Amino acid sequence: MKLGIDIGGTNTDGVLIKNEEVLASTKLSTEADSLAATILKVCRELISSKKTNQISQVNLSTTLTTNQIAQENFPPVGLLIIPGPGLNPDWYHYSPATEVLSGSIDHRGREVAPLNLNEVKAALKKFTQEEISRVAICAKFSPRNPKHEIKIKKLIKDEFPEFDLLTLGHQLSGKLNFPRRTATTYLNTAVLETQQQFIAAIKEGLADLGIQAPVQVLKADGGTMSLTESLQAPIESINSGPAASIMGVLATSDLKGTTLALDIGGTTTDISLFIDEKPLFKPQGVEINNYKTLVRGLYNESLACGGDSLVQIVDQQLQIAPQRRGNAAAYGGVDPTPTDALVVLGLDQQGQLAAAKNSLEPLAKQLGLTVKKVALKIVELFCTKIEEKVTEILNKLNNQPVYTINELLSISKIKPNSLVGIGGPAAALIPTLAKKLKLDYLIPNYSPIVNAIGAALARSTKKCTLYADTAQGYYQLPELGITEKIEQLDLATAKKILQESLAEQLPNSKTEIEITSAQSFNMVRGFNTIGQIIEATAQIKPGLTNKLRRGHL
Amino acid sequence: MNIKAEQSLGLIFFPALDWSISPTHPEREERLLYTKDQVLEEGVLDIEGIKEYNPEVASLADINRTHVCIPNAEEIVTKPHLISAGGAIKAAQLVMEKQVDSAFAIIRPPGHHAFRVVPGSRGFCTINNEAIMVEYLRQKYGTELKIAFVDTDAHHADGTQDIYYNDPNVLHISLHQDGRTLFPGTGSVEELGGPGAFGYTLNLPLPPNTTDQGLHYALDNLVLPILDDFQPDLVINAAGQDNHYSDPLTRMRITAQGYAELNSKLNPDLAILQGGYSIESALPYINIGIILAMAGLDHLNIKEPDYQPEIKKQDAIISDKIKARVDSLRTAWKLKEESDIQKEFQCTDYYTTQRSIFYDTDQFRENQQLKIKVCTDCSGLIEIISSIRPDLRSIGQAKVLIIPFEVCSSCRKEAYQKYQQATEDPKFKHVYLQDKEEDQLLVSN
Repeated sequence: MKLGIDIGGTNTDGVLIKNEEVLASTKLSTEADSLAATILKVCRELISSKKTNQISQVNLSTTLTTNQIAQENFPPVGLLIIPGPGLNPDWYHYSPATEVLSGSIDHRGREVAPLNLNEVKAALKKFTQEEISRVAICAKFSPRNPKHEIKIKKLIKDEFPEFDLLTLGHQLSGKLNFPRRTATTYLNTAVLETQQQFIAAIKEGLADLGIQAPVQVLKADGGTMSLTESLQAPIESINSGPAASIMGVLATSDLKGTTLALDIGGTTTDISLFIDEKPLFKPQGVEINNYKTLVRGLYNESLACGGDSLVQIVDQQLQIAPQRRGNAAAYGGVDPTPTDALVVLGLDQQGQLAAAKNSLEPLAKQLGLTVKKVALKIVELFCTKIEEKVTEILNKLNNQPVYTINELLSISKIKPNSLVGIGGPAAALIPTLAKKLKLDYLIPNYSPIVNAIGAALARSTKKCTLYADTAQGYYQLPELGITEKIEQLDLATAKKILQESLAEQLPNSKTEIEITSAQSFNMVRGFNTIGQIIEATAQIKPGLTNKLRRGHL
Repeated sequence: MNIKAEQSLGLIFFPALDWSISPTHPEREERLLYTKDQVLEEGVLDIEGIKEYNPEVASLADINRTHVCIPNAEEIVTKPHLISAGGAIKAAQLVMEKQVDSAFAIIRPPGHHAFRVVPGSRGFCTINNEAIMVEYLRQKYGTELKIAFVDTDAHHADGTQDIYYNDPNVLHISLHQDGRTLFPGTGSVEELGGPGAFGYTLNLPLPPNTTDQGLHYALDNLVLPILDDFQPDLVINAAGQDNHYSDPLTRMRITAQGYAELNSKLNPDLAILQGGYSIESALPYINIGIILAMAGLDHLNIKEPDYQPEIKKQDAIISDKIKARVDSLRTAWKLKEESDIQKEFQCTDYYTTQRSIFYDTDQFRENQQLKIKVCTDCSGLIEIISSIRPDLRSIGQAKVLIIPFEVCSSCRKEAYQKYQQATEDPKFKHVYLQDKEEDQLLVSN
């Protein structure tokens, strides 16, 4: 049996799944100041009548890190950057305590200027004086050569043991982007302690409940990581809410071709995409609270417009969102909302019709229309807003920069052929929207707890980069901390090394390892080929341990 | 941190990582590999206001609007050329449609050695990306557009010069290593334009070992004042990067800072990459420098790994030579309207000349007889007779007639008459008439 828990801002959902069926589910309000307590409460409810030793896996999707970053509720972090020449280093002072160190590595990973250890020591002493005990270390081109970052780590271990929490940039991502790597390293360090406390509380609580199953934490990429990994890279767990929702759609729907997925909530509508049952990734890393990071995440764009958004008249025109004033009138609120329009039109038969009608009345009067006509207009406007956002998203995705002639000439444009909708107003709204967008549609059965299902059934993911420079005689996999000497290497062997190294990381996974990019370049100096540069990336892609049987709950 | 560009910049960054002229050619897959790494690692694409776009693929009509390919564009031009030219076109569209303040096309292969008549490839170029872009712009946004080219490649921009030599709406300024010391050999101060655009071609040969000092002297004392006077609608920097002190093919001593500062001062609407083959030590830094400068951002921290401040020092003899040439060009610019064209070109009705153009890539020599009508009502009909030696593909002799923009009715009439006559003349295996006004190319084989 698998336990999946998704902690949202308002509610926490939990499911207990055995093979293809949901055995139990629950929904509780989230206690913002103690997520661990909320999780344990959900566990208790779900397993009340079950034997805990049958639970084989617990997967958690938490907003812990996301919230901490959204609130900028950070303990002091000392940020050490080694930018070398290039863009103005003042632009990367993410932490109020940032020190710029000398030293420089070039694009091929060659040391251009050495690290000055005295300078590093002075910076660390300064941090100590400011009572800072956490350090984030990030050097330009560190995925090509992490020497300077590692040297500082060693110095801290030997001479400054008081810094007990630290993050090295190259371990978080093998992708090149110094500003994003610096932000990611900083944020990761800032949330480490909270994550430690959370994990400790969870471990203790689960032990009390007698649950001994391994616990995994959901990541932004729709996969999971172990608790050990989450203690090193808690930053990976940001945006896991939308990721859980996307994986939940995958678990509860039969998706064919290219699918547009909408999670219509009270305040927002989240939009994501699947191609042949594979969720799409964000082209760059996740952006959170104005920090651009290198955290790999599933594609998800939020439109500030949901079922409970306020409908009002501005300049003689109907306007939906961005404000929200509580629930829809049909569900105990006061002000008119798109949900009220759906109730008036009979598309939603759960809400109170009279209250919905009442809320639309003033709008109808002002516009000189019947209440029903206003309701139709609101639904139409809601659909138009979503349609415009979808068009904008597709435009962006279909014009992603490519760097080879082959890719430029063979770009296949993303064009959805079906629509899947989850969330409160989905059942009432999706058929109308699908008609407007000319798409087939699907509304999965389990939508109220789809996020928890997604969390429960998500499996481990892993990604890794290989960079080889045979002229310098080495290859390396920065995220895994592997550097090996090598005289010659061809692309096929490089791919094999990448696949084997990644497979070793997840010995129990039977999932296929996918090479996501691979390219080899001859290095020519004068008229001689002096070596090869090989760049390749691989992943164990997000997916499900199994799907749910349709129509059962 | 969210850094915002002072001026928005469109970047067409297309390193064509899967294309080479031949495996060990300077134009090979590796050329922009390190630049790509630097661009990605510096995170410039995350700066607000700097936006990346894919190139378009130019059409054969875009090529035929600018060039006359012999025997035809289909046989000369390949997809990578169309993509490179399409990158320039995309950059220009972004600027003209006001989606960005300026645009930089980092594309390859380069174009500035491609002449109007194209029987093959030379100097790593086949078709002239920037000319194709300009002809597109004039066709789409108005023939009256005034364009200024500032070509800062180390090699003389002989191709672009050829295309605009007789075009008074296009000012072409080329700063390059003295032609007596480098391919293609041309680009002396005496080359000042044809009878229809005398003074609108300006060449400043820079002595070998010119540094940032000399380049900026020329910029401050020649280029910027003349641009101020010409008042172009668009300034285009043909941004060659082989003046760099580490370039293996040339003998100049410009730094990445020198390039960045140049773009800062020039503030071009469009920059189009040309040559530059110090792929590891120069290109990554120069390109970042240009990007930052065009975006109006601080570029003072850009430095090559082996940079030493002494590199900026310049020999006094070099400074004196540059100053003398700048002075003579400024005089030529000032006096251009006063020159007696017939006297200057020693002719009455037609200015005629012969020239021989070497195609290093394809290893043949083209002989051209060039004839420009000296016309008081327009810039004048252009006639070219072209043949190549050795003619291994049996292309034979070709005749080309060019009807310029804003042509007068008598030149137009004469062009069509001459085209008709030439098609009946067995001497010519191919006859072409490029009509800029009607945007068409007539071909008779």
